[in-house]
Amino acid sequence: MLEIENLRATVGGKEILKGLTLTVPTGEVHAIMGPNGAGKSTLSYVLAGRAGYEVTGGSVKLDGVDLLGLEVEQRAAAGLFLALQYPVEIPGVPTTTFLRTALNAIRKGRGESDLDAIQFLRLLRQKTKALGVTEEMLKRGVNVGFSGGEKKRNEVLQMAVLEPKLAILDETDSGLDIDALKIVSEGVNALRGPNRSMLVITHYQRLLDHIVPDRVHVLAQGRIQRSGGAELAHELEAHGYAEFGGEREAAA
Amino acid sequence: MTLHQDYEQRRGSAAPAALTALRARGAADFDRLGLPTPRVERWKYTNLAPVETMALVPGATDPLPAALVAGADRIVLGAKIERSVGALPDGVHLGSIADAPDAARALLGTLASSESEALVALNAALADDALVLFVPAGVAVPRPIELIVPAQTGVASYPRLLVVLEANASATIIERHEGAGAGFVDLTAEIALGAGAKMRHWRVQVAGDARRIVTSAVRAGADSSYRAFTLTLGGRLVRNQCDARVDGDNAEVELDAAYVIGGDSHVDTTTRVVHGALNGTSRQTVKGVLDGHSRGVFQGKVLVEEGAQKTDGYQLSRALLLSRDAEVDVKPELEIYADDVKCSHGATTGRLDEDALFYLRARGIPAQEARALLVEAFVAEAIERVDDETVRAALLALAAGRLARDQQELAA
Repeated sequence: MLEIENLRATVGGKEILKGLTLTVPTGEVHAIMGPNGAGKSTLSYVLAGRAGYEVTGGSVKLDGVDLLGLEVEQRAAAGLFLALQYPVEIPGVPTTTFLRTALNAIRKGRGESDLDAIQFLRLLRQKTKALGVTEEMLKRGVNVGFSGGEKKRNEVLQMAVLEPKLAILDETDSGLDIDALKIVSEGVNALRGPNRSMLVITHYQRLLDHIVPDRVHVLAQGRIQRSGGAELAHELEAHGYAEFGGEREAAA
Repeated sequence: MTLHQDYEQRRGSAAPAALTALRARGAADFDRLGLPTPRVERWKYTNLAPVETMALVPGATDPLPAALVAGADRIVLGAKIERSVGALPDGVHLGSIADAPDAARALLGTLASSESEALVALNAALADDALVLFVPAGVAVPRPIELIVPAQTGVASYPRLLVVLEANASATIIERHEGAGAGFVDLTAEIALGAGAKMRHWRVQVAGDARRIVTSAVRAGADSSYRAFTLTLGGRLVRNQCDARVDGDNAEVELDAAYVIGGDSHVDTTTRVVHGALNGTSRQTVKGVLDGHSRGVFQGKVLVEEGAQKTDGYQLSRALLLSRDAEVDVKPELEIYADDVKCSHGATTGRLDEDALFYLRARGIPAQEARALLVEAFVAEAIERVDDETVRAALLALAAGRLARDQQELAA
């Protein structure tokens, strides 16, 4: 269970999160929607522990563990996974090497032994199939030469391999056409389960047609302004974020 | 004994008659030139003063190390030539200049100029012998030839190499600079490629206290291909200089390098490619990883002569600085006298990509391991230029070993 309590954070001296409180129970999928500049990406980076995002107040707990006291990699070992809006290209590091190094680092954190190359490849083959990630993509440098859709599929593959307790999907739908959106959403839905929570961050409602959330929260001006069921996303689509003091644009 | 005292003592020593003229000319040139100072433009960033004052003693023999690539022929270019060479095709000569074919002997000293290059002159003056690889027209040397160039504490050595590949001949040379001792190596290599000839020239230089100056001069005939890659893993002072001339139409010259250095290492890569024919291609990609107080230098020049139309020249220097005290000097130059050419150069110097580092850590990879992974990837990308899978794997393993050593030192 993720518990965020009165979280405040600044970026470059400017306060972006202004007392954000949110709870995501184990096994639930929650969506965070909001206008541009509301602090959606800031929230995801603060949770992951990225440098440059300074927490000035509040607390964040994942299954009772204080995340804010941990290094980036320790948070990952504690079960947090952030699927990036813009996955980074890493030339020279083959995707397979990257995944195996990451998995073994996380297994080490869980007190499990390393997977050898054969065990790992078996696991990988099983996970890649549904996502349409090819052998050729796995051999290439991480995300190098990948299309937008391939990069997002690669993010979901990483999630499938690392099996986090909490997955944060930051604007996973951005840059995807409808076919790619479907593949990615199906991949995400396959990972839903009673022991995993998800936080789906998006500007648009269309992703939530595919990944149907248990709860929807509206983030604007650094705080959760309103919460509701999946139907709230449709309401936002119809009326936009104007009433929350965001930009006058429809969340179509 | 200083370098000059050693020089005075050795300049009259016994050598094959085939070297007499070369040695006399080299001595005359070196007496006139002396060691270059930083006032000489090509030596602006590399100071040889510490070489002059090295304490030298007479040399010893050098053992033959195990092969880097399974099945390779091996020759030690040290005080005494050791060799382990299998059967070679008819007409191939791999040995002393003394019994080399006339066609090869005639080329000795014609490609590398001792007139303006002091280290070539010094090499010419003191070379005990010259190792000649001569491959007649149409013949492919079946296995890579490993040339081992040792450095031993207190020993100055002046190995000389001449490679002549006639039309459509091919060969691969792996030049292995071994030995961590504080020795001095001044190697001069002359390489002549006939029409359609193909040469691969891979070089590895181990870490340690050696000072190594390597000067190669290449002449690429029509449709020939010369590709060189140098992996430098350390050394007190290392200079790899290559002057290549695209002498026939449609020839390609590729001079790539990667270095991983720390401590007080100084690694200088200086190249000059002269395009004197149509439709030539040249590539120079140099990547360096610098830690500690180390210093890297890249001086690359592409000169396109009048009439060398359709030349495609490219230079790239990328340096990764891992410490505040490391430094890199880059001087790319283009000099173009033809109007229909495509030439470009680029240079970047920076630190590890913070976005990539965050991404790796966000997937659970500890910071130190993530850094090591990124550095290894940076070097591996350069080694990808080596178009021989076996050699590439050997070089990747050597680079990984070198980086792992840094990690251990960091952890200790």
